[in-house]
Amino acid sequence: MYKFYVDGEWRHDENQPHVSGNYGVVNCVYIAVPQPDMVPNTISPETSGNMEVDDVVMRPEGFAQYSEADLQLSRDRISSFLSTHTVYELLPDSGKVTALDVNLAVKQAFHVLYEQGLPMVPLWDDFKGRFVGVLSALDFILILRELGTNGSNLTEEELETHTISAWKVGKLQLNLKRQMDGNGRPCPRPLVQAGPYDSLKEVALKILQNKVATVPIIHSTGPAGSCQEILYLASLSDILKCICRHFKHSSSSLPILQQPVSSIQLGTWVPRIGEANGRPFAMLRPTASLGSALALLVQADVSSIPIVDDNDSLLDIYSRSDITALAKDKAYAQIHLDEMNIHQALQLGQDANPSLGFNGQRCQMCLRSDPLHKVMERLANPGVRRLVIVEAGSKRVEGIISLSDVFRFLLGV
Amino acid sequence: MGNVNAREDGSNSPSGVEEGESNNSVQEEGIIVPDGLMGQSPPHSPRATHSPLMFTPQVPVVPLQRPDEMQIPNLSWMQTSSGYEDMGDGVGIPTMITWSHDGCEVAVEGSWDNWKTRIALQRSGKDFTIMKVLPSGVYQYRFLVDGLWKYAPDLPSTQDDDGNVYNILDLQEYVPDDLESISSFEPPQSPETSYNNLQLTAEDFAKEPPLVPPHLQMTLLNVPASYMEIPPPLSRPQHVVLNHLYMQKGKSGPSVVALGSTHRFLAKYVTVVLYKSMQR
Repeated sequence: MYKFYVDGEWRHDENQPHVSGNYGVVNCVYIAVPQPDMVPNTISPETSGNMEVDDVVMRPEGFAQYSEADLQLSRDRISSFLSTHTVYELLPDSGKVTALDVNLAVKQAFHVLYEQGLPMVPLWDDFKGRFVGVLSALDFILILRELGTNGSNLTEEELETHTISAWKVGKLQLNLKRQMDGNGRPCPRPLVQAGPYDSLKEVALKILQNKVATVPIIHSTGPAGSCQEILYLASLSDILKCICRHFKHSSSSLPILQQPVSSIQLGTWVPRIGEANGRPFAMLRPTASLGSALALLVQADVSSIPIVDDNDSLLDIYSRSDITALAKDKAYAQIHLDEMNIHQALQLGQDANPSLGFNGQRCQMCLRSDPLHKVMERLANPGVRRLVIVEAGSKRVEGIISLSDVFRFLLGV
Repeated sequence: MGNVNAREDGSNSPSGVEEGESNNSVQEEGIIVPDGLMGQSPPHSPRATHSPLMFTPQVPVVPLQRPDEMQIPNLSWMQTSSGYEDMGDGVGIPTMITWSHDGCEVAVEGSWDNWKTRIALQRSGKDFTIMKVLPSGVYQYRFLVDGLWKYAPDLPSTQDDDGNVYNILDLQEYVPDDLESISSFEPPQSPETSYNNLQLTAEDFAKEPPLVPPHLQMTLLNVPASYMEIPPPLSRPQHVVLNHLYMQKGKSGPSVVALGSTHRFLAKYVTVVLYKSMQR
């Protein structure tokens, strides 16, 4: 599909085939694609996108168009599926949850996260008798930045006695965007949690609206729900896995899944030259300092930054959760954030776990021509929260698709 | 000790038998009939709690050969990997598809291979069955009975937009516990003897503590932490270790204690570890 930008205005050509879609009226090009296997009763007349041929050779942008009806049908079906299935289905047969007492020292908390390989943990308050929050990689990033700045209240020795609860109180003073109440006063954010009988749709919306990655699943019993039992830490990737599992063998019921991600404009894309309203896309070179990476993670409010070479080819990716690698050999105590560069920081993580190479789980990629269902299946792997869209061959970074992008698209929010 | 044994038997056998009736998808360990189109090797299963001999072991049967199907080289009991999965779907789980509503010739088609092939079911008495090895997932299928398309009314089914009805197979990777067999289990009465609540004296502390039952060593808490992005799934805990509190001192730091316990929630098991500070 395409549109013309004429003298500062987006217009379509009336004389050429055109169709209404999400972007107003757009022109479209129909390309006949060979269909070797006509599967009976599964192809609706409207979608002539190919399901069998998965060809990643460079192709012109004009794929067969998708209709609003396809999109709405797919959305309705997914919404209906998510509304009728509960969180209980996400629970593994035998799962493990690690929690920290809120009076544990920050330094020890850091080490537990590192040793157990956890990106985040729920926090338990003995005095209140309930779960009160979570400790995540972002907390550590903020703590490390606090250590680094002059005139901060936090020293390294204090990390040993500074409790998580004290940190959380101090964090309010940092005036992060999300924690303001109506009067502009910092207020503690209540724990975003869900119960095992909540529908998957409720949980997905909760995650999207609160902009969290993981939601503790807590079963409350007793008078006024006073007795809390933690069951699981649910994330969008669990829900996505459930969706993929269910619809994998009836892909015709969700026609929008066959569309390439470039045609549905999913994710955040590197703005093309001349695009006026493109958001700056955060990328860094491996020689950039760790301090700048952490600053970017906080300010741009993103969870990961692709690390690229001089040609913008993807080398690796630095995510918030990589911060726990600094606990190795207490690297955080010895380094100055501006003296260590990203490459070294990633090396720390690599040494801890050599199996996670670039081509392994660390850096999942996709092409702009990949259909949505392929992207979804990749994202449904636990531990994969984003895919980097790269150019075939050169691996030049073109964009990022995250779990929340996919869910916003599927739920139409 | 008597408690422990009874509990294990009580939970295992009824759950096995009732699974077969309620779900219609039977999972049998170690019995693999490789299907020429699908099958990947089932994993070395960590399901230690399930005795593989819950059912009369079936003699593996060669599925009916169709002209386009490739020859199955061997039917050994060892894992075979026939066929290549382009997507690495995951391991195959044996499941049985049954038609028990009369007919002379029954075949089945399903969404597991996009409705491409039709497999004839084998007759055994009044029922027609076929064993398939499929990765975990949700599939649709229907039966061709004497030339007519039918669905089994007693099995879960769904209807598509055109009004066609298909049966649904939701194949899980594990057999969920049968809730009734667990929740109706009555703990035995305490043995007859005298009970009091006198404080323990120094004399009591001087004695050797009673031995910890060896079953309690089998806790999931000792499974080493995995650094992989995708940690391998935990095995199902033995019922005997449930609701016991374990403590680990000093491993994560000088004044840090880890408390762990495994509980059951409906048919799922959750192991929770809480790290606390010992300082006050």
